[in-house]
Amino acid sequence: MKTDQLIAILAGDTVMPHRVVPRVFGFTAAGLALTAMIALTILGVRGDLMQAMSGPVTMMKWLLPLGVALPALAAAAKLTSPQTRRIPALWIAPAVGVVAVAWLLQIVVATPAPELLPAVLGSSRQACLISIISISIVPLALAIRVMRDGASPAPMHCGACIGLAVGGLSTAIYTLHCTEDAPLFFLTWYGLGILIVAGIGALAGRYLLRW
Amino acid sequence: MQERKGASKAQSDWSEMMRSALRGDAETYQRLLTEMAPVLRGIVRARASGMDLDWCEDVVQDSLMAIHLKRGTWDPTQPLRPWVYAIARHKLVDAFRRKGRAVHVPVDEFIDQFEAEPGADPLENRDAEILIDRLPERDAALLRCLALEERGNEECGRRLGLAPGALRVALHRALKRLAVIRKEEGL
Repeated sequence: MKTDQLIAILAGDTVMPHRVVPRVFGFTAAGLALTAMIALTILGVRGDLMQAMSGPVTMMKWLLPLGVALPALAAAAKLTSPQTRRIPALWIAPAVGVVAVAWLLQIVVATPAPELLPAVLGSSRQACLISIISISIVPLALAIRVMRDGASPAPMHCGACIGLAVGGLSTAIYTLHCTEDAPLFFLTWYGLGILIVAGIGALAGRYLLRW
Repeated sequence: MQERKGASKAQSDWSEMMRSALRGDAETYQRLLTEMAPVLRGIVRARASGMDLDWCEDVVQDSLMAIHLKRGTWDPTQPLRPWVYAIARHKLVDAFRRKGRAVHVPVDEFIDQFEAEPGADPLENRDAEILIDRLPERDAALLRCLALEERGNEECGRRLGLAPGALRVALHRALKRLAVIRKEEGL
């Protein structure tokens, strides 16, 4: 096929493209709203939500996941454009991660050894992980689907960022239900849940976002 | 925009042309892609010393297809050229990688001075036709009719029994699939 012939058929394709970035936000939000509604209908919202949200320690159950998710979401959207080389706001996500790990280590050191394991394990770790991942799957799939119309300069990073974003947002939704307020518990399992979703995103990005 | 028509190639406003194209002006769109081709050719040939011209032309075609299919990632408030160069760079790096040749292509070197000498004829490429054959039969028939036999949309639609709306969708899908095959099979 000559290049001129190719150009002629390309110009003959009159299906207009959608702008990718607004759709990434739109589909992610729609997917999250849907799964949040289903999850919270099944699980229920904790009774003392207002108190929990204003307590200095329990507040972190929202602030940390959102602190990771929002910069990661912005980064994922930016990474759908082929021109993107640096993402200035992205450093915030790992910085929040470092704060969380530092906090976790500090508590681990301060906790007497026999109390450590029960506090970490808590009583709902399975439900916690399963819920965070379940809430994430649909919005993550929708976001990746839309991002396939993107042209990422770094498909795996792009996938990891959207996974981090969706994982963090799902965690912030799940914690509307979760009453385990010990930092040892939520730092461990929320962190793990978010990282698992980020890993799924990275893997999906590696294979599905190449172009 | 009208007064820019007479301007030299390097100065014609690609951003404005693309904005028209995105509003549905197919004629301007074709002119834009036609203007891009020699620029892309120049970029690719300048960066790909030692590769034959057929190979270079494949990268040019990959870039044009990506520009077409990915134009939803261009922000119309930004200039078009840097976006085009980023696409070309990605396709060039990708093509080198398939050849097993690692390559460093600095973005900053993508400037207009690489525009190919005008009049350099696009090469016939057999391989691209082999790839069309790997598409589902109807897609292949449609692209062959449109591209290789250079029939109009109407005639191809009639021949394949496609109403204009169906042809529009079929063509778009066929191009998306062709891009995937080009990517997977390499050239």
